Amino acid sequence: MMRNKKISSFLNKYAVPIILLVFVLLIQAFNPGFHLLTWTNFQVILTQSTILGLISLGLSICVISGVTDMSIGGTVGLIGAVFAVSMVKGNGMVVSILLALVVSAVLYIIFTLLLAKSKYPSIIICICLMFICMGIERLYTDGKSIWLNNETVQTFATGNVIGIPNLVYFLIVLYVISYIFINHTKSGYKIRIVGENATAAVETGINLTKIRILAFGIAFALYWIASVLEPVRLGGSQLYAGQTYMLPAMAATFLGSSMITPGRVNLIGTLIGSIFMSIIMNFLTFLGAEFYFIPLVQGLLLLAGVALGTMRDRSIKQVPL
Amino acid sequence: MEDVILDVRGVSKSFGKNRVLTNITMEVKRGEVHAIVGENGAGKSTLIKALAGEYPIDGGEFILNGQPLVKKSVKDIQTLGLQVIHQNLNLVPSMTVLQNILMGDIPVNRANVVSWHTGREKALETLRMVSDKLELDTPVEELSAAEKQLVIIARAIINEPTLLVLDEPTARLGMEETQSVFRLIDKLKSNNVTMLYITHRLEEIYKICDRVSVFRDGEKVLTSAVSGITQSEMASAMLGKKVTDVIAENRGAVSADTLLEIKGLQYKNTVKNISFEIKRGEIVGLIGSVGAGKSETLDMIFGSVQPDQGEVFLNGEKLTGKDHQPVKAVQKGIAYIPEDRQTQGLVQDFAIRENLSFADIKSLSKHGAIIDRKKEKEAVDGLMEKLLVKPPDPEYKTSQLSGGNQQKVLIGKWLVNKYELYLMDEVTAGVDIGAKMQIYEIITDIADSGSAVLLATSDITEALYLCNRFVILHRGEVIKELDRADAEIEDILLAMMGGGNDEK
Amino acid sequence: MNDKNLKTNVAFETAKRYLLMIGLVVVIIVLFTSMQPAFFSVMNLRNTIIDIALPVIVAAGMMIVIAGGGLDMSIGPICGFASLLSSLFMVNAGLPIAVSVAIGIAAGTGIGAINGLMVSRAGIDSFIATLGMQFVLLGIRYWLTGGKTISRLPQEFLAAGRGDLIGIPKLTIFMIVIVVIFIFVIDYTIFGRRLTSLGMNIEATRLSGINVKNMTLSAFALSGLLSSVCGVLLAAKTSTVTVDSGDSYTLDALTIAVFSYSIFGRAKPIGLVIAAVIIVLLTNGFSMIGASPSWINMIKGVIMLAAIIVGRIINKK
Repeated sequence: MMRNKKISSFLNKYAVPIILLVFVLLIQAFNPGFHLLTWTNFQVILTQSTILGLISLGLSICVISGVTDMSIGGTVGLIGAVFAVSMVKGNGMVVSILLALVVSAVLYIIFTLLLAKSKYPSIIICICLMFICMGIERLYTDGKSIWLNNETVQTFATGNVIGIPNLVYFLIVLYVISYIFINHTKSGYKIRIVGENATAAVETGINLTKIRILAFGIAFALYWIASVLEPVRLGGSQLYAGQTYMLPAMAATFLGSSMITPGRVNLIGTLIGSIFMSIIMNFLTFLGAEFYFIPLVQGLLLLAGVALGTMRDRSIKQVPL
Repeated sequence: MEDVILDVRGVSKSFGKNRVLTNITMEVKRGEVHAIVGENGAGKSTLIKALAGEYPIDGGEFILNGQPLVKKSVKDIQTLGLQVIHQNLNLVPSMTVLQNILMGDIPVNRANVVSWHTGREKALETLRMVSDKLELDTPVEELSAAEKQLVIIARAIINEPTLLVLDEPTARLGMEETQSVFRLIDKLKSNNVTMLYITHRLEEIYKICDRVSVFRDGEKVLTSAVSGITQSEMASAMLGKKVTDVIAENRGAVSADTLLEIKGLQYKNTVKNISFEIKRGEIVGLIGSVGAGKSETLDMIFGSVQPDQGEVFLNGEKLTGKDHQPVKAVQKGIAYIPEDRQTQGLVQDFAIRENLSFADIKSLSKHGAIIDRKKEKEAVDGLMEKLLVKPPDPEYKTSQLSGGNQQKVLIGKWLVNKYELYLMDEVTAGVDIGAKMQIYEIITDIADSGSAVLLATSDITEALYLCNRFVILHRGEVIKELDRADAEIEDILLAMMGGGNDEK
Repeated sequence: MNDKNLKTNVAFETAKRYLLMIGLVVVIIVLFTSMQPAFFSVMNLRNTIIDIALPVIVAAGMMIVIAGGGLDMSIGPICGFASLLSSLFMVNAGLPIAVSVAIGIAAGTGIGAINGLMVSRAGIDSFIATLGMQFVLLGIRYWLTGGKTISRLPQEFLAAGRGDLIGIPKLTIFMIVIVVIFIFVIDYTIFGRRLTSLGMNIEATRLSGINVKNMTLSAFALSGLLSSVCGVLLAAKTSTVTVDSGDSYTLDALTIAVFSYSIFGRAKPIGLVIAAVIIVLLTNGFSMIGASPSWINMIKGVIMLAAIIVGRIINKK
């Protein structure tokens, strides 16, 4: 009896990651040319996971605090574009990064003003912000992709320290910090309490608004870092880069919510989700799959991930307006 | 001069058009246990939430320990020594008992890292004050309602309040647990903790309280020493004269054929093996306190909740099964008037007309698809007149109505056609006395026309006034069935407390 | 205070909101005309009534979904998918026009129904479900066309999207027919009444004995139907179908429907038409004064945001 309970609780937590692992191994087994298990390719995948991982991390912290941030498709792209344009104009690294920070801060303030008090319907407000940001991004970049052509940046982006790519350090360090913050600090606990039961939080004297302001702050700081790293990694900023990350980030987050603490978004799940998504994308590129295949797979993975995450509660979730 | 810990001065509060607190003035003395009694919707819970800083108030002020509480945050007010044990069970399900108890003041070590270990000893000590059985490391989602209630009590007292508010803390508890809460109250009292004790079980007051304030329709009616007031004086202050005057009325005999038969209903740990019958033309009171399983029982009859076990028969036909859903129940002639009119009952943004005609719109249509505006208007106008809804114009938005009028619309929604069985859940909660009498008349009319009513209520006087028979629930079980003729208020109260069987 | 509240009759409140929106139309016309006199011309008026046709049709679909308590982010892709499918059958398979159109519309409605199933049966948030569908459809459309443009659509088919009938542009006539049906459904049928209640209070609707799952499902299916009708008309209007045809209609539908729903607090078909007029006037106005087209998407976002905030204030939520 006791043993059965242990097994079922283990499966609850780890069934999905095990299935994902088996899936990846099967892919490897049937495609010997896809050198997933070589260190070189794994480095590439980890580097790819960095940007996605950081955006998903920010999104996850928002979701944990009770607000699903659907505006990442616009915000992340805009911040990255501002950074890239500033670099091209010759403003130098530091100024450009700071400029990106200013943009992030402004977006953060608007986001907080609209959503910290849950006065407005969050999803539709996020959609508005997303479109506004995309519009500004397009005006700002004139609808073109921007190439940095900067050697320092290139060296940094392709470099590594003791075999681990430079960019991956960002992923590791920020995940460790965020994990400790969410799971081992007072504020982290408060964010989880607010997200899980807002009334309980109010009753025990937790200030909802303050906690959301904090959670959004962390999320936007992560978006800022990810948005700057994206053009660094690619050597430039594509138009609507944010859009390409929105779906995988949501898929990673919700897929992650089907493991470790099933039904609740958690950071380890998000990390596993992000890496899985990157592996799949990498595999599709390896296959030389026609590029229509990528959105198709992304869309299906998002749907599958969310379906897994909501398996416990299949009641209709409305989007109030 | 006596030491006053809490001074309430002329506090008023409205929600939109609904006035819920009118000019409340009262004093709570240091070290006393002060009871606040009143019916559902008399304004007790609103007063507490306003005191705790969860709602802003429209007028007046609270003075706690000499400090005015105007515009102070919940946290600030708690630092001044107030703790509230709320009626609803708001805990964080994924976290453990320990983490929930320490939620208000999360313990950290020197490196500012959360260290539950640090607070463990104190938490255990506090938990043992309310329960010998609960363990600190159990996730809260695995607890029963009674156990959650105990965790909530522990969460409040661990902060060592000087003023502790208990909002119906025993409603979900059994005899034994209730006794341990009473012992806890005695102990806190000896530590000079002041307590505000909210209840509608009058006999509890005599056991543990020093003074009592009675609330009715958002006003404080009286404050008295407990020793200076009898139970019936309290009851009539709570209810106002009108109801007590007519209380003796007895409804006539009903037909002999059984309409509804319930056999062994079970749902999780809230409803355990409930069985009873209802005859045509009967009004049966399903009586019990918060958490006794009343709403769940109604939900299972209506199909909005699927029972784990048990069967429901209507006119001898089995209802329960895979496809027992509200859709089917309504087609079979069951109407449901849920407890929460805001979220479950009425569409607040609809015009009154749209709400009144909503459930039966099919019978007011052409070819079963197109609304017959003329028929709809006739039906709605008839209902508006019958129910005396104010304002009398059906084109007003429902959200603009007072609580009593909304409640009338909620019942009226099921009066376009006649249904066989009406399930009603706390139909007069938060309704003023005038509307209450009108609602009672409507309910009596429904029964007189040959339909049956199952009236779930925690208001005994209401049940005594309306019902032919009582089914008394306690912690999910039928503890007693009584006929109106044999029923005494004391019997029912005792049974609701879970003591009915042992005492005799 | 009390007296003021007593005057809030629903019909009176609605009339005030119509006035507000018409006022906005007048302000926009005056502003743009003062900058560019050609704005107030028969030509531009005619363009406007043609240009609102397709947005109104997709926005009606979005409005049905919103009234039922959801969002449909796959409207544009469904529109494109239906238009692609019909064109492929017409041009490559050489099927009769009517059959091709029917296939396209049936497929689009089917996609809408799949959305509805995901939302009502699997319990997936409608925004996420339809966003996923958006990407799935994008993939399918690439797969079907290999990224190539489809042209050489039959002349008889193209005629449906062009020219006038009794002096009114044909597209506008399609729109009028759909709006009339929409008014009828929302205001005069049981379905409309229940749909309206579904989005306002799903629990009260369910406890009134209404099958909320099927209602939700039909809302998404209807949205799919209207999107694919729009898609077919779009193919006829533009005479070429590309892999991303129709994608921009998601934002149009969203802006128009959110705008009108926020202001009125419920589904109002005529409000939808006025909202569409406002959006189209702004789009045309900006292009006539020579502003970059990038502006207009941003402005749509701002309008939606403003409408939500204003709606909260005037509806005192």
